[in-house]
Amino acid sequence: MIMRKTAIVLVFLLLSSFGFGIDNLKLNPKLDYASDSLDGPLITGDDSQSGFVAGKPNYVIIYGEGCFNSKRQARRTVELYNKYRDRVHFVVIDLDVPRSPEQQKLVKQFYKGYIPHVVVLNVRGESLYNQSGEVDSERIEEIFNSSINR
Amino acid sequence: MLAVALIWWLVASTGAQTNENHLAGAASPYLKRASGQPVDWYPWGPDAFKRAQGLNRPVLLDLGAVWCPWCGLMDRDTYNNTDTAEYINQCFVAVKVDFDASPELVAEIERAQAVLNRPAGLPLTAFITPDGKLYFGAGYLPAVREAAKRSFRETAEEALRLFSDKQKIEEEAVQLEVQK
Repeated sequence: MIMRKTAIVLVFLLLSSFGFGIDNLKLNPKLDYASDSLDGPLITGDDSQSGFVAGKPNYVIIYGEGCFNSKRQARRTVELYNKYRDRVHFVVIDLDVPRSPEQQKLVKQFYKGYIPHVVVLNVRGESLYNQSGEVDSERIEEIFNSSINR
Repeated sequence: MLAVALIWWLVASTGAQTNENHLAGAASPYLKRASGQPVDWYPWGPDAFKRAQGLNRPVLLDLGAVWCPWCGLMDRDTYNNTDTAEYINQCFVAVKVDFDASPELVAEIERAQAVLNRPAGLPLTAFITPDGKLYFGAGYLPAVREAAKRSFRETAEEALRLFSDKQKIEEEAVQLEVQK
């Protein structure tokens, strides 16, 4: 009985240290991709304030709501999420709303001043991609595929 | 006839002087567009910060672009409003920056605002101490409060309150590295 309890605590601690992260990502269906209209948050999900999670590659998007380049990158982000959700942790940072300390760590470390900004980190948190502007999904998938399970 | 023409010229030239701020002659389309606004805009530079130091006022920074519809909306509804302009001119030193004309400066300001956990993007409305510390900011601000979206005036008043809390500014504000 004691061993079982210990095992449960250990599993809990392990999961806590790795974090759960954002899940159930969904694209705002009202987005107008051709204008800088304010259509609300581009992406919604559970635990949307999560930051870096160790143990998997991380994909980070930093965006602004009234930015059509951000909207287009948000669409790619959700497509990537639907394909890689089990193997990659996704972090969604909306610059139009207050952010958690975990997300602010990423902003301070990587944000260069232009949106959208995309960062891909390996399992140890080292940067594999760190650029402002839209980026093709193929390019990101190449990075994912080369870093998953490494 | 000559007297009438002279009077008309005098009136016209006086009007032109009073309707132009420090952006007159600016090369940037975004700044040029604002040169006739009632806000006494300065371009980014030592003149504006010296004035802020002399008056011990915060700098109100508007960062925008000609292609940004929300920037155009703020120009039209907020900065062209004479009451708002008078308030700005009495309480702040107003500085306008063109997103397209100053990429390094823009990146520095956008990053500072994001690091401060304030909205970033365009338009960007920032409040900066006379010695260059960005201490408060927002994005698009309507002339009148829209539901949960605070108005420009409410935000500016909060910026003035925060400006008096020197200790908080010292602890939290982000020093801009760009040359003033």
